[in-house]
Amino acid sequence: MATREAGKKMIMLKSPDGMEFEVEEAVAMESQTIRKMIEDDCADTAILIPNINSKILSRVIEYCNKHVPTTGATGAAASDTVAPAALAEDLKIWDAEFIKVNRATRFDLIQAASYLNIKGLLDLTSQTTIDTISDNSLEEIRSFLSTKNDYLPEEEQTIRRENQWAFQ
Amino acid sequence: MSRPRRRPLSPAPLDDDDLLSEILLRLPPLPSSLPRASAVCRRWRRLASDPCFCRRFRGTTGFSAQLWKWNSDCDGAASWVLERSIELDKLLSLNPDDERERPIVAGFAEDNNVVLLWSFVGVLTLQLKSLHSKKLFRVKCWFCCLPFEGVYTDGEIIPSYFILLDYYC
Repeated sequence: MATREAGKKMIMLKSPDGMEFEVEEAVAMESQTIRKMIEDDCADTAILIPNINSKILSRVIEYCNKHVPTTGATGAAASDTVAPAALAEDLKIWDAEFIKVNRATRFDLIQAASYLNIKGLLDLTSQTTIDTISDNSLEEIRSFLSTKNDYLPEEEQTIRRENQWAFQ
Repeated sequence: MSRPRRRPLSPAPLDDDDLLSEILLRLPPLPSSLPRASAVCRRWRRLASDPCFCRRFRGTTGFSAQLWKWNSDCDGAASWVLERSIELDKLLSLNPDDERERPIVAGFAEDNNVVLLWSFVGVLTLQLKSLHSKKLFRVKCWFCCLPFEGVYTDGEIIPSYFILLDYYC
């Protein structure tokens, strides 16, 4: 395993398109999938992250870098000077900017967050998707999410009638 | 080189049932959310009516009372309509995590739109229009509680009388 600075273990993440990302172990361990591999001692040289291309993987690493708890030699200074509430607010603003991506990228991030088991990123990406559709009509939801309406017209009418109150 | 456990990824997250469930779990915790999602397509209906999903969806919302009204529209067709959802835990300051504090309906006083509730903290009245609630007294266990409405009710929100058949353990 590579070691860049004293006390900081580095780990290599590889995307299937051949890009390599050297990240601090603590950052990589924001992913519970990678954490388990490291703890099980089966991540000695590099970890190939299948099906997550370099563009998405670099965004995921960016997210983990920002969200890794600021403890340890360098992090302690940051958390000593900034109040936890201010840090949380800063993260919220950062998240809002981070998630300003197109739909395809957001869906890729959802997949990556799920596969790598990064709860915060899954929360952020899923919630943003729901927020964009929750005030829309059924037709708008279907069109926005490219979901085909496979109900027969009379079936849909029955469902709407049975739950009329929910559509008012 | 080591690799994480390979799990085939679907082409789009919305085609993966687990991921779509994760997304739908973030719908607003309103009674209308799941019926609306169910109307999108068959697959969404299947996921939204899965008992395990429903438990997770309701998981953190405490307990509420839904008030349904029999309503007829201009065509004369009648159906039950959800009029309001009352968050009982917040309204009555009950702790949803304490099973003993979860109320059950003990009786109704229809003329006054009052429902009598019982929980470990006592017997409570809840006026359904004003949502005004009152804790009447504490009783650990009871057998039967029936409101008995008097003929004179000058806007008073609680029933004139009610009969409570208590028993001693």
